[in-house]
Amino acid sequence: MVLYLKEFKIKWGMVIDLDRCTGCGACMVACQAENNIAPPVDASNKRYSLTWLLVYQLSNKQPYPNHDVAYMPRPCLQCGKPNCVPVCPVIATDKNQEGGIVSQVNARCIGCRYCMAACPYHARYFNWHDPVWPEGMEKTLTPDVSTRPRGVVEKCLFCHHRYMAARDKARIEDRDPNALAEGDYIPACVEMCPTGAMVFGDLENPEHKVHKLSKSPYAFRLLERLNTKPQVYYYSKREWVRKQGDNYLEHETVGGV
Amino acid sequence: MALNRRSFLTFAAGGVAGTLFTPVIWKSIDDTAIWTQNWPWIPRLEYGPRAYAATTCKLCPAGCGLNIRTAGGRPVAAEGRTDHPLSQGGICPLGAAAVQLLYAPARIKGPMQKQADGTHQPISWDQAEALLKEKLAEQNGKKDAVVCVSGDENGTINELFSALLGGLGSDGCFLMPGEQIVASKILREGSIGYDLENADFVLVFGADLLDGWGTAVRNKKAYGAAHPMGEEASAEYVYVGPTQNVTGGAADQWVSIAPGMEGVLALGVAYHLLQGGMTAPQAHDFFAYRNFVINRYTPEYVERLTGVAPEQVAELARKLRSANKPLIIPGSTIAQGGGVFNFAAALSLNMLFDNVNSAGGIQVLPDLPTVVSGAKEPAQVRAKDLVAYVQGVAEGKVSKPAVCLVYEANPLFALPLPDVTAQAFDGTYLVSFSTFYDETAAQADLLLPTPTFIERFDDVQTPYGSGFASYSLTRPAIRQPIFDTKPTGDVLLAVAKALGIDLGFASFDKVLEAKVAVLSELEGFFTDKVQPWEARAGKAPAAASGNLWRTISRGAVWASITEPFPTAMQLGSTIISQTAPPDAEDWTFPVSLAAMDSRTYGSRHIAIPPFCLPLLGEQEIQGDVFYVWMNSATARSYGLQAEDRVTLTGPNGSCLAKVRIFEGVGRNMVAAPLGFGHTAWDKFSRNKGDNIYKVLTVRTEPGSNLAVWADSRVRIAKA
Amino acid sequence: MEEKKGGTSAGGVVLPFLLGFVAALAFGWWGVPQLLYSKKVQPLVFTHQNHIELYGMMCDDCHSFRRDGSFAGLPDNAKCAECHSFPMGDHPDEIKFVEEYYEKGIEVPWLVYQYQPDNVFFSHAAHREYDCATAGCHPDVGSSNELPAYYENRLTKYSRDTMKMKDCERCHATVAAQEPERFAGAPNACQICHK
Repeated sequence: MVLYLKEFKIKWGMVIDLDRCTGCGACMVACQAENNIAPPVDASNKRYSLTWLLVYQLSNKQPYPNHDVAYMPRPCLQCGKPNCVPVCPVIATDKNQEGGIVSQVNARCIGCRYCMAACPYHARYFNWHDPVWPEGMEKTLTPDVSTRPRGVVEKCLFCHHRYMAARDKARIEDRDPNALAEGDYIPACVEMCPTGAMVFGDLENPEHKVHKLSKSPYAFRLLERLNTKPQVYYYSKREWVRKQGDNYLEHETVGGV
Repeated sequence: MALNRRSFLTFAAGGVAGTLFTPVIWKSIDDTAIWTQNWPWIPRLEYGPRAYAATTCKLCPAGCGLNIRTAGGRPVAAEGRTDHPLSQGGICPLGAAAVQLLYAPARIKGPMQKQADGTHQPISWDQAEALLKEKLAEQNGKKDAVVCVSGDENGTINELFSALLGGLGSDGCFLMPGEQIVASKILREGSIGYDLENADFVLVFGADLLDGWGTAVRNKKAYGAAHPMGEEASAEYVYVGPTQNVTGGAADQWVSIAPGMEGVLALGVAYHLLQGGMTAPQAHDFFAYRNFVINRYTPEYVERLTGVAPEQVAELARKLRSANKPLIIPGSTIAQGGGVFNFAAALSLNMLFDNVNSAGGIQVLPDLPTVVSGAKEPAQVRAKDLVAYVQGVAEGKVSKPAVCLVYEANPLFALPLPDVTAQAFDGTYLVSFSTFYDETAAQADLLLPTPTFIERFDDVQTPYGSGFASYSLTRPAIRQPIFDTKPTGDVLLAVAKALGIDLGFASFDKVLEAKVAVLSELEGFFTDKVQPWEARAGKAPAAASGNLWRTISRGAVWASITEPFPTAMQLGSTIISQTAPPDAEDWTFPVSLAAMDSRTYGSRHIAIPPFCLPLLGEQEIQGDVFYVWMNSATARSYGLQAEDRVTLTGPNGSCLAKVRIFEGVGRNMVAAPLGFGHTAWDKFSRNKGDNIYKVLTVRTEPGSNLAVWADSRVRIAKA
Repeated sequence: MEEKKGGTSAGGVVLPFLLGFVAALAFGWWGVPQLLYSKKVQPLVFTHQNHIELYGMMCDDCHSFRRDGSFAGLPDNAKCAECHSFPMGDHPDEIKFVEEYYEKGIEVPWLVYQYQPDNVFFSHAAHREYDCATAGCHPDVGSSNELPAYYENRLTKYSRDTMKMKDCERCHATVAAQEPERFAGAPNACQICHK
């Protein structure tokens, strides 16, 4: 069964401008609050911290004073050909809905973590422990995303609940839920970004900004040669940044000008 | 039929067979599976309609607009407000974590009094207010026996503090240190703003424009708008500062210099401009300035002090000249502890380009009139030097205060040399109005917790760094505070009344109403249609009219771009030459300390919120040890490698850290974050890293007598 | 001897087996539900029939969509108080509503027959065109004069009448098969209903 090779008319995607991201992390905090992720007491142990969206620091690896730095927010890239989907033995993760968001249904997950091994982007996280909120803080949980017990894998879903809410709003207003306008549905991280480094929309819709931006010569995808076809594009005018998007050899040229 | 073994077994077999024709097995498997999904220790979701409450953030002085999202009346998330000119939909990590701070374990749940054994025991609000009244009454009329330290740079609450202190015969109303005190040495009234949105070349000296400095989220919005994706940038940003911090990393160009050298480089740039024939006939001290700069800040001299090559300085001057709207922003990397020299030197470049009160230039912004009778003018409060005062008390030069009121501030942690501060206030009756159990609250004799900004009324007037004067309200998103807290404004009014001091208001809400009422006498507009920077560029807004309180209390933002008073144009040659530092080298403390103040680590009075912890990288903190950053050449010269443990030693203390090799730090510098090393608070922030405030050096700047510590130096040694 | 033994054997086997079989059926179909579910009554008496027939109200006067597309479900006190802010009649439960709930600011703890687990998202907006009761989702209370009893599963704590996943799936599969164009996007994808 090759359901995951399905093509969709709508493909929600992001273009993230790495020249504009300052690495402040507002997106990560917004993501945790939006998706009911419990705060860790010791976040320095990255094995246990759940960061659906993680901002990496990139370096051009030149010594001072020629050093340059860039920040790369990494949500789940919602691959067009996801590696995680075919390995899931219980179809807890799937790519089967118009929009192309790779699902992760925690109620169905058995915690085998095959998907984590399969994902080349480290976008998936395992709940080693039950989530614990300090006393009272559970009152700040949003009603939109269920809490996850220990033993299941979780990941970014492009704030899928916001997609469903946007579709509902469209239905109530007698608009076509399959023809959402740009801005009707935006994940929390994109909405909060103070420099506007993240743009979100339907990659297949020429009226959405991401459609054109994703075709820019400065746009690239992570580990493009794995042919996972992510729906998240990065954008940088700096060649060294684009070069770090994949394991290029010395003499190889990358896209862009 | 007798019941024998055989018939019993057949009965049982019949039972088993029969069970297969009932749903019992399937039902029990199903229900057990559902039961396992609902472990009682994992919280259930609560449902309810979604709503938003527009308010203004008080977690740092930047004054961003926030939308507090509620579900069934419970605040669940803080979002940016697109209709607020100071945030335009953006948010910083601290603001994004604001709602969860409501339930941070560090919250003080009610008024408390310190016992003989040092613990805090709950008391009632009546007892607490009576106690405060009694302590203040004892000092009534004694000159400067009562002081207050406010961490709120721009709230009307400071009027209540200064009026109450004034009524008691004291003049000691201090703000926590910030850029404003330096600016107040240049401009006696009003404050200085920067019209980033209309500039096409932004040269930043020191100020961490995009993180911990001024109106950070607005700055980021302006930076983002100037760098549209897929198009050419409409403004170039150059950062002159010690590290590739958020601003240094994002800027189009980073020029590395040691903290404290910004002024030298600015005058080095001025040298090229003046040599290139630039004049400023509108400034009456132009010739004095020209002579001073040309004679002293020669390319060789500037290179020797800053390490920046003369060609690079000349290139900066060339870029400035070719820009249409150049804007030069002075500041300290930690938005505090800077000196007048660096500030005035960078500011003088703006004067050379004559871009004062013009679009894309620096702005002189008015202070809003005070409304509380007996309150001091904001400019008077800003000009008071808290650090100099604390040092004076510690050294015995100034008499120790009998009572110290601390509001939204954590001086025992976040003033340079916290041990000296603790010593200065030892024996003083310390009253903390803090929401959280911070280091100052832990030492305080009386705790009078104020609700978080999500639970109270408050206001923000023109944050420092903003390009326009503004006013917006902070409004509660929930009906009742969740703990037994009381807004400090109301406590002060009640205590003042008990002391027989008439401040003229019955409640803090009424003070805010009066504040809004005075806006109607000023020339201003609401930012719903025209943004202040658009107005500055020539788009005329409609004057604010109607019931101002009604509009502003619903979230509207009032703004004004009028020039408050005629400003005499000066390049500041006198103050610059008086404050210019001697160029002696310091060999005892050979390494420049580039302290970093980031919203990721909280703010001056908020420790790292639980929700910001995952933002810290593996090379920022590991367990309880934090990292200081240096480039590989510096590390080599001190025999250090990545992950080595080091001590940073200043004249008054030392810190333990690990080494992170980061090439975005200048030569012979060590970069270290402020905000770690808390000893109070809660398990999320306590005992993580060390407090860099301990190793800062406070010196007195000649010519201005200002306490300065942004250019501290340290010794590093392998631990 | 052998014959007798066999005869006794046959009678002795069939009867206990049948008894056991019937007992198990009775236990499974009648006893277990008795044990598994506790019966609860609604906090107040409510008649849909009167509201509809006597006062001409429509379902969506109370069970309405919010402007953001979400479904409000049961009306809150404020909605009820649009008419019942003070007792209109002399029914003790109406007085109880006003005095015990509305005036004290406590929402009526109605028992909802259909609440789904936290990990389920149900879009009422998407199912607007279907009749709530005849489609089999909700008990038909619209024309009833009293509210049916509420049975709570002692193990799972959910209502007995909460719709199960297989019911959702069955309908999605049939409808999608009938109108594949309209239901493009695989309506049986787990993510459609799970959050």
